[in-house]
Amino acid sequence: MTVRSTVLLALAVIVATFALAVLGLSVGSTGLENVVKYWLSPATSIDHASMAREIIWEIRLPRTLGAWAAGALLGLAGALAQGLFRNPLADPFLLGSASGASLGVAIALVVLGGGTGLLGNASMISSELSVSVFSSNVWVRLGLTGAAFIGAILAVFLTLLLSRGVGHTLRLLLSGVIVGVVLGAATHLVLLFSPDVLQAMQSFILGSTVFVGWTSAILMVVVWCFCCVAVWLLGRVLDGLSLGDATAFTLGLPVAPMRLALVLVLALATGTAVAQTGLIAFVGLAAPHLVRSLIKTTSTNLMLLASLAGGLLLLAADILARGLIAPQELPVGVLTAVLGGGYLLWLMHAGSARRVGTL
Amino acid sequence: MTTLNHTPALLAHKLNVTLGQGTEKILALDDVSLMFVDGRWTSIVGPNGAGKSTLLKCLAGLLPHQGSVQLSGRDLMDWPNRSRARKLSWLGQNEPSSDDLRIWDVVMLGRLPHQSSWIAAPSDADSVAVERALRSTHAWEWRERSLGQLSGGERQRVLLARALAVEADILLMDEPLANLDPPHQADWLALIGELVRQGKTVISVLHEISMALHADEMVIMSQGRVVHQGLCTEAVTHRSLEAVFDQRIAVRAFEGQLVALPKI
Repeated sequence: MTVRSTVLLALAVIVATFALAVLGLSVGSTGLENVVKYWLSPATSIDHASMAREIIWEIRLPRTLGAWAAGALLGLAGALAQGLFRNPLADPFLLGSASGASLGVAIALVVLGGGTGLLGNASMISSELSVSVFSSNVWVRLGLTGAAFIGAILAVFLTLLLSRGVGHTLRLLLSGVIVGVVLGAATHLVLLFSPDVLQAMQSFILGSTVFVGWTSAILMVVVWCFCCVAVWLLGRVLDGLSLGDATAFTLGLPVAPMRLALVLVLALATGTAVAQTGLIAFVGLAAPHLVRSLIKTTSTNLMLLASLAGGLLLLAADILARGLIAPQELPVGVLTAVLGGGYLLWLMHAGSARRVGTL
Repeated sequence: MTTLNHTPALLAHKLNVTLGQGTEKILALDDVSLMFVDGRWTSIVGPNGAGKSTLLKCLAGLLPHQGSVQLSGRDLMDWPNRSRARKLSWLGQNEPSSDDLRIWDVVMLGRLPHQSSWIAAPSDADSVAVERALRSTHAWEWRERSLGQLSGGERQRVLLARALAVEADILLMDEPLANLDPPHQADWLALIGELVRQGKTVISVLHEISMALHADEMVIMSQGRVVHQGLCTEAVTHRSLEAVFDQRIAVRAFEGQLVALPKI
């Protein structure tokens, strides 16, 4: 029975994702119309058609794919963090990866001397419908992405170092909080000394899918595939750990190495998503709750379903962000924070009415 | 030792455990040496803080200690994880459990030591073992529910089924009767009796002395030391039991059972 409902839920989410992806390809500052024209009668105007094709191929498709992949990574990481910390309020940023990534980006911007809008450039490009996302900018983009990723991974290792390994969940959690606060303060210090960077940081801190090109999208999809395999391999270990470390040990599970492996998957998924899209709030927290409110299942299924749900959520938020005040657009992180926060609030109240202990 | 003709299933030699740090340090186990023979049920009793749970954790390899524990004649630390897990099953006290897992999946976790890998689909033998364990604790009806939907006693029966599903030779249980109502306590006694008849070794920490007196053998502890080990039916065991509780309980025979009554 559960197998069937799991598969049904997965199918429903996948179908909805494809529907939204098609919608995502059609929505933007140029509006629905000219792209539809291209689809319907490609022969009407060569110029028009080629522009429409470029918009779709070089901007909307990677962005749509990237938004989905980032959401999928965050959803997976969220479910993993909640299982690992045995805490339904855990989110993927708990190990300090978010603040580490922010610091990495801030330092990189200062060092590269980019000042105003290295990240801003990308959004300018997309609004000007130029297709040069690949050109000279790619190295800068890779540099920033790399800096964010390195920052995220270093922060996680710092957390692990402070907590003296992964043996003690509470200590791990506290170390993550401490690293988050300290690195957050360091980021602000960097920004204080180089105010030019502040604006470029803005879109990173709010979270945005604007600057996702093919490189980022493909990187995220590849990491996502890897994480899915890891989750599939380690899911039952997480189930075992949910019964407590003592029981997990007596079931023959090597508790510490396995928890380290899970932490690394968490850091990889979060770090990759944060590096491409900035700090997108609430997707990682809301996606697992959404799945759990619909179905009770094993950790493996929960993580994979939460991943699909996260992709769907961020895709939807991205489309709204582009469509709500077109031709301007909202930072998607602001939308996910508002929508995710509202959803969790609703879940909390519905949960307390129905059964205590959901949140 | 009353029965030296049995092979020891577990052997504890000079166990010393210190818990806490600095001035808070306490000696939780003080030079504990014990032998647990095959095919017996031993209950560990004693006042609060006597070191019962600490001893059980040492026997399961869960706690760093001085001294050694031997499982079937081989040092516990030398056993590979999975072989040890197949040999020794554990049911802890107040351990976390995920509200989201289905009962069937929880009990199936008990089969992990038997499965070739963590991604292997359960074999028919696994499914049979899980069903047998769930039926023996009368939890079969709930197999599609999640742990979060059960009461404390029901949850305990599921966790007991999880420990049984391992089908290990030795079962270590810390307060297995917690939250169980009297009929299910009686069921548990019958179940343990059946397991011991099959040759399993059961070691349980119990705070309800009347329940503990149903065991074959009793280990009585106080302040980190073993005060007495002997058969539950022997008068010397009863006297030691009364002494360790400051003569505030009395062991009596009642309708063919031994009961420990608090003196009021």
